[in-house]
Amino acid sequence: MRANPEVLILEDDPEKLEDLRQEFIRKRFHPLTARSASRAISLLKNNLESSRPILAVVDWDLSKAPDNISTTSDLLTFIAHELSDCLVIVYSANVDSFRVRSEIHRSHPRAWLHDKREGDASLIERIDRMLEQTVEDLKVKDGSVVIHTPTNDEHHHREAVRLVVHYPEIVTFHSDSATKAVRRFGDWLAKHDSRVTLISHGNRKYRLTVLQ
Amino acid sequence: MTDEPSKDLGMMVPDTMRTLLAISDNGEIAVSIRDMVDRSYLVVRDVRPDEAEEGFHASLPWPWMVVGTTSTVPDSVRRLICHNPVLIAWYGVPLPEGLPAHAVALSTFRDLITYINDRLEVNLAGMQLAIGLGVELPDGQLARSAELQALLSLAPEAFDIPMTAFRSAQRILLAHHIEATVNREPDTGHIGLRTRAGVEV
Repeated sequence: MRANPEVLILEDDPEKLEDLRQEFIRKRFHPLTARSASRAISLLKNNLESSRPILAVVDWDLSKAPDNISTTSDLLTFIAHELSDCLVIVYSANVDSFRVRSEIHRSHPRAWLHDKREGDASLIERIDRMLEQTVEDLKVKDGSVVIHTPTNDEHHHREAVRLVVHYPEIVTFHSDSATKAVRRFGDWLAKHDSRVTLISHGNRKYRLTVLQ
Repeated sequence: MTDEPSKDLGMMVPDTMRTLLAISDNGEIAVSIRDMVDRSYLVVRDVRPDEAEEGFHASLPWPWMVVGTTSTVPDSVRRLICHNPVLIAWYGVPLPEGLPAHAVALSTFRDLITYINDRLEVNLAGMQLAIGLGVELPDGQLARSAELQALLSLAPEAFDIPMTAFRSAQRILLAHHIEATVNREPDTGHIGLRTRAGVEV
């Protein structure tokens, strides 16, 4: 069963938003896009059961946003509370500002910062580095597929990607379908004699561990 | 600086990742520390004095380290750090009264960063801190014990808190046949981690 990972993209510039959307489609992601923080929060709130992005790409400066009902800080706080296993990268032209950095990290202590002035290609490279994790004989390709490197077999499921990019942390899954997908991934690892195995901690909490 | 109600901030979301709780009046120290440490090993939680207790409780089961730049510590936080194995470093001001003896005062930012990174890199009897949380054991297993994590980080120094705070650490050391033990120092009564041969590493 395939299920492409979702990515939330908040960018107030429509052209740049479309560029990022296309980039993530090429990577086999399902992009959730918004030009304002309030729209992004609505998107997430309304689909919390079915959509849990593994990544949020957030523009801090929203001067071109169609509304200012909510701030980027509100979105980051919402993600920290409701989607704690979502990786977050915030880009800003003011990333050197102490005030901006403090505000971002008080809203989301785990957010990663990126300097907008380094350009779009740099942002994509940074995201690739965040997502292309390797754990023993597994690696994430393009942020969307887990590959068993000795066999080159691919596992296409967002929950498998989520586990690998969060290794060695425990990840809590929020639906029966997600936990079923995780268990299928565990079976897939065993079938491939992977050096990585799935550990259940109960209450829909799982993590990967390396066999010694 | 931000003046939003702290209970709504993402930094108050409970998290089991190894946490450095930075208590300051303006947040500058938290921003500066983040630039100088490997963030795959810890998350920096930036709190004001009146948010420190909430921040402490959000760091599950307790913060790995508390760093302060204030001249006083809220009583509630002082009680918490006197009863839990938490590393404590104060920077730029004298140590506030009433902190345990294992608290250190550091006069320069460079000293503070060296102290933090040294504590992250301790290696004793084949144990080292794991990414995120816990301790990598010599047999390759991951121990999620916050007590063992604290003891290892502070080694060869010892904690000025009761022995009862370290029972899980001693169990792990025995179960994994690790050449180290939880030790009460005879002269001070402080609790630290020692190799079985008694050699500080």
